[in-house]
Amino acid sequence: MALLDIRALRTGFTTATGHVTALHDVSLSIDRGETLALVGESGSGKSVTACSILRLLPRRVARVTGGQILFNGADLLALDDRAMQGIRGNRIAMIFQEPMSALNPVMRIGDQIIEAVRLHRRVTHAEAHARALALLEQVRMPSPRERANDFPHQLSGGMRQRAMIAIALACEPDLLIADEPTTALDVTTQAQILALLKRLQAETGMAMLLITHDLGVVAETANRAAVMYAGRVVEQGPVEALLTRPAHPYTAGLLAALAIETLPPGSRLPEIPGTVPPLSAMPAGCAFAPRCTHAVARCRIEVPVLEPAGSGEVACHARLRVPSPTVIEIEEVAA
Amino acid sequence: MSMLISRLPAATTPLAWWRFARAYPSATLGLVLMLAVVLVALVGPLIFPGDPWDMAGPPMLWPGDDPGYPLGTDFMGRDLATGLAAGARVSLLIGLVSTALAATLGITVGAIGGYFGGRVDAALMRVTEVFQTVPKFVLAVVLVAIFKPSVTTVVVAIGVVSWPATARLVRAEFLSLRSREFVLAARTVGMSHARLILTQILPNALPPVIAMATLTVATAIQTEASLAFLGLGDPNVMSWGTIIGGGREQVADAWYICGLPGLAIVVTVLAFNLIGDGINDALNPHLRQRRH
Repeated sequence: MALLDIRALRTGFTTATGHVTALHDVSLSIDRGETLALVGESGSGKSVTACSILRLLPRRVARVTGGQILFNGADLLALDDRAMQGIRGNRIAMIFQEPMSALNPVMRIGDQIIEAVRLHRRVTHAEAHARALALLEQVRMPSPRERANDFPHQLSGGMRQRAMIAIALACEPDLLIADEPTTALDVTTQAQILALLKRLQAETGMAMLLITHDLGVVAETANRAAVMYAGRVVEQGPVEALLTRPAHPYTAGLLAALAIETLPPGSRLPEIPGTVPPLSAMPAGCAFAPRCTHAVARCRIEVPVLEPAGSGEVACHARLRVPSPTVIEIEEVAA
Repeated sequence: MSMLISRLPAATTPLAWWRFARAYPSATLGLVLMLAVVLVALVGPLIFPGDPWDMAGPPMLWPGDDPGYPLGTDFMGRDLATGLAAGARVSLLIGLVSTALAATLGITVGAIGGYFGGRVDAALMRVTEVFQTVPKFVLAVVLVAIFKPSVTTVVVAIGVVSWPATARLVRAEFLSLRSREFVLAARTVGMSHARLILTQILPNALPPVIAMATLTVATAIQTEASLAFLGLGDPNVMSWGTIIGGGREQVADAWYICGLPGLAIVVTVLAFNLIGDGINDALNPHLRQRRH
């Protein structure tokens, strides 16, 4: 049984102009110890998926209207608020893009970790304090004892993200949701944080849902990847196959946009024409069809569904048969 | 809270105090005046013991006429020094306790409204508006008059008329803070609403509330004196307002009976206003000097 099994999840928003659907029957699964990357542009539904799992969407405007989110076999959508609080931070933890804004500015780092530990564990303050220091060491925080007494604004970006990760690991979660964990960091720090996440995963055996728009990060960190477009999973499969032989024109387009090093200087950068359609004006048929160079007549009428293709699944009427020439180089980075 | 304190200089050495005084001259004047009033409230009644209501000496003694009554006596021969010292205690006590009450009410209403929003917020804000539309002093007079004047009723009356501004301020802070990412992050670690409000949002909302509370103390002291002037003070305690009220008919012959407690009120209210303004300036990023 998969650790997390999302089945046909459908999430909608009520806006001033009417009801829009942000997620259309999204199905994903993550096994224990596995990393699934959720890839897509801004507005493709990656973060809505993550927030749906933890039930963090604002209740007044957002509603899950269908599907199941099975975590260890139990449907998270059926839990009451108290039970959900017992899951958050305890079994499923989350880290954010911008650690400066995700840490409480008026609380010391150590106290924030201690608080996270004591929310779910009946331990004394001294035990929680010891656990906090151990966690800071585990995330390789330099001089953990001193940093524990610092406020977030006194730390560097990389140290803040380490602190954030320490808080997330406080109760040894089964699943870590990382929402663009390295986007706000500079490139060297980015590599360090990714290596750290990988090492922590090997140590603890937790599963990870990695939300990113950076295919380099996907190549480096994930086992499997799911590509989202306009609220739908359009392609998913093992990372290597997905990145070397994409079957969906959108995935291929994302990859082509990366291959800028092979271009002669001065040539126009490859791009996917057009923009993601707004949720309120989704075209009939495939949402990507208006931007797709491979689209056929059927694409504009009928929404394609996910079907097995090669080692993964793809939702496309005009699958690419030719392997993409792009190969992402995988670089190993030391922690 | 801790951030606010860390922003103030750790003025432990004379040099650090001097720098602080140079950087915030008006706040320093406020602190000095407030310490003086606190000192009078603490040791005044020890230097000038006795019941301030007692007819201690000859009436209408001008300050300096008799060394035994350095600030003179009123038309009934009550010692003004004893009265002013006792009044300092009453003013500070009522000012601080009623502000604490107003802050508690205001924070509770503002936090709940701002955090939960929607209908709860709308209902609480309508109630707040009702209190804001009624003239504050009139409401305080009515409340004290209904429930016999005593220290407790005066404190409650001032607290009840002073909370709406704090509630509005706290609500505004909560509205902006609740959508900040660290609050979302705190939810992802499994915090309850109460814990989010108390440990995550409120400490971040406190600095402007503290600045406002300091100004509320000043207003509360004024209101207390006004109530006492109208004869709505506790009949068992000597307030500055009571002395002024008692001396108003002798203003032409003996202005000092009204003047001295009046001066005491001016100094105390000024002190709290200066401190409140100082905290406001220290919190205002446009006015604050960088000191790192």
